[in-house]
Amino acid sequence: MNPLTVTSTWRSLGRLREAGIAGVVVLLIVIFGSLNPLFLDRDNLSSIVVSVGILMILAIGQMLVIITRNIDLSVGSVLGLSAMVMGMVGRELPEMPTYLLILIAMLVGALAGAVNGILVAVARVPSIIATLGTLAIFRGLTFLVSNNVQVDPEDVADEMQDLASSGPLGIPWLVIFAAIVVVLAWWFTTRTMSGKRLYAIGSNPEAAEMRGLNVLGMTFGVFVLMGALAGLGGAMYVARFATVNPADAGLGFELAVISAVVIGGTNIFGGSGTVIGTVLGTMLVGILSNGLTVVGVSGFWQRFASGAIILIAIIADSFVRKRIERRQSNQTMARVR
Amino acid sequence: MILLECQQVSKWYGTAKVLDEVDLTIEAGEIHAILGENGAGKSTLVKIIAGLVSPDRGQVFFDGIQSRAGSVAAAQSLGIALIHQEPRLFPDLTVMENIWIDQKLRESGGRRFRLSKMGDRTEELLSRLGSLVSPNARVAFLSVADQQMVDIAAALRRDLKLLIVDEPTASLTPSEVTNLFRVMRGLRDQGVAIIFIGHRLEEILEISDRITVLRDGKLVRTLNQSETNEDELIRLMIGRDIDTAVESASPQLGETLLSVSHLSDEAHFSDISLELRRGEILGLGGLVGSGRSEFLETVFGARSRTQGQVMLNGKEIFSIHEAISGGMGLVPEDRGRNGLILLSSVLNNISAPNLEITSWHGVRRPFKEIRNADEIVSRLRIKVADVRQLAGELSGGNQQRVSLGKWLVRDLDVILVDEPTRGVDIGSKMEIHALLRKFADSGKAVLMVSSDMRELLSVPDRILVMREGRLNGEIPSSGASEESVMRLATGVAA
Repeated sequence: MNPLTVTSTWRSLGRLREAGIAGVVVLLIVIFGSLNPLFLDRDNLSSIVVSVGILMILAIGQMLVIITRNIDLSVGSVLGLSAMVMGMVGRELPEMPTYLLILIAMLVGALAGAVNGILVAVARVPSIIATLGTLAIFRGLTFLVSNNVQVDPEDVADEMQDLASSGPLGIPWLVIFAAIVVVLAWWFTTRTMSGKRLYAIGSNPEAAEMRGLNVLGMTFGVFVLMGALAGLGGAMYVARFATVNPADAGLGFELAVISAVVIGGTNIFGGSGTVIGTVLGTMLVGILSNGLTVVGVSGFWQRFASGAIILIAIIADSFVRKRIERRQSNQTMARVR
Repeated sequence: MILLECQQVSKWYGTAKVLDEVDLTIEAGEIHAILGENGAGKSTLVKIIAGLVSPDRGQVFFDGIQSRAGSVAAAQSLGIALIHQEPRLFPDLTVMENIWIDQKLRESGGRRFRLSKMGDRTEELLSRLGSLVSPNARVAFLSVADQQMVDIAAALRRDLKLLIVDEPTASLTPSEVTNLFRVMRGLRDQGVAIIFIGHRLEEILEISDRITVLRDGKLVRTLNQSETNEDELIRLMIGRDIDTAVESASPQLGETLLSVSHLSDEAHFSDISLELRRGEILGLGGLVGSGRSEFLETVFGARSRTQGQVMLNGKEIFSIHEAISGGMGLVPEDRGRNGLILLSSVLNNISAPNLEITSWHGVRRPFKEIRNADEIVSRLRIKVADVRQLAGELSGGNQQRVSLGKWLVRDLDVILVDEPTRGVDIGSKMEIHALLRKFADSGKAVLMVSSDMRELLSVPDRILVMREGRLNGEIPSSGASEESVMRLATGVAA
């Protein structure tokens, strides 16, 4: 069989999946819009854009982690910790410029990510265990550093709060940051050798070691990057809500983030995934959660729906994958000498 | 020109001496086979040659320089490449990406390296190997043979001086083997030295220029291919003469044990009928991919069928459970994956499928399990220090015996075996054949799938040949020749 057709089938499958997610996004907008016209209201749409933006920053990081055949469950706690530290610094030093505050949040996140990276890459703890541990540790640290006192809106400078509502051409800075992250990640994964090596590591870790790829360094790096992005997400969280409560800042975020990545077609076992898919997956998750609230679905059913949609996405994906693979293997089988 | 020289190389693992003062030279532009039974020290020697392991005594010179232990990557930059039986590639990446993924900045002269621009160079490398694979094909969809070519192409990217191929033909079809050998000869003629490790003597005699035989860590002799023959190589390998032909005393066939009628599945085989009688060994020949393994697994109840019937001792079989309790066992092709639990002890491997026999109303009886395992170990002459040893620590031949032995705890009537001696050394091979024969002679029956032509022609009483999922003919083993089997397997008319 001609290998070229194999590649193009595979590529077009990728596109088919992306078109499918895009179709579901449009369908959801139509359904929610017709159930409650308020969904299409300007205020609600901008609220969706802002919450999708925060989710997107984290989902891009998570996608890179999952491509290397790892996972980071601690993202919500890292977001909470960095938001808390930044909020407290802003409260104590109100004169500090906004960009420095954001850098502080990213630094706190990167440090937390480095802890994950050392556990996974150096100590070789399976990432699902390591980050399950740090999920609790970082949440605990958030309580400790804050003394269980929350950061209130009057503690957050107006310049910081403006990031979520205004910016050049009326586009909020938060959205611009998310767009920059997306573009850089797209460039990194499709145009650089290091990006390709990330896929190689996840595709076959043993072979990656054998070929002399720096598996340890790249795995560590991807967790640090994830941490820094969770820190940026924390800063944006403060900009948006102007409140940081140690008990619920970023709580349960890992579920939404991982759903977005997996719905976007990233293979949970590593080796494949695209930025475009992740962007679409994030939009789907963000619109679904906002839309369910707007049309008045109760909190319980919202969780039910987001869980169900992950399962549907994974089942549909593996179904299509299996069918394609079976077809390929039958064709190879028929090719007897 | 001497490319590599081992001088008095010795290596101990613990107190076991695995290599004993080995002197070996490899010339540029030769194909040098290293031959030996499992445990003779081949893989350790190869690791020392590649610089992955350093010898405890003696020296290794590569290209005139004493080589040091390092990584595979370090060996690659010296021009040494290892090709494994199962290529170590990245299934999610394309052929081109697999070849260039470890390109270092300094190798491209410090200039920015664009992976996407390597299409022409990739085509060029692949065409040197006569491979028609597209640089943009995803590796997951390639056959093992094509993947090996990609692996070799990745090695050719650099200045390749020494290629080490470790049992590369084990999962290839005959025509793929022919192609691999053509590529190996081409590389040799370009001055590359090739070390070939394998078990199939006829292949080794076909491809090698020189052959080195190892036994118990010692180099027995290095011979020129033209001056030796199979009998001599076998003698040197095992240190004594053995009769390679299994005597098949014309068996006393009894009643029918297993009868399969019109069995089909959705994709791999269709409309297969056969009968297996007491005292019989029935061989199932054909090309790799002709559906034999799938057929065997379906008979055992491990795969779903679309039509047909499997009767064992007059009872119909639908599931693995019914097959086992009816007296049928399957020894699968891939013992590491389906046949054994490598990380568990020999004892557990033998006990696990037989717990309802050895236990008392659901309570395990450890001493009985040990007695059973000990009995199997001594009956099959499995080389273990203790039945508590991990199965994964045994050599291939001994693992295969455990995989077979776990069924002998039960009083089975039929054993289905899939490639019973793949990756097993010659001594063990003979013993496994004798075991199967003894089993059949005791009034039981064996259905054996084999791609090893010699095994297929010598062991069974009767040979059925499958082609593209259908039975294409039957040959009594007395009238069978390699040619007659291949005719039926490939569908070439006489």
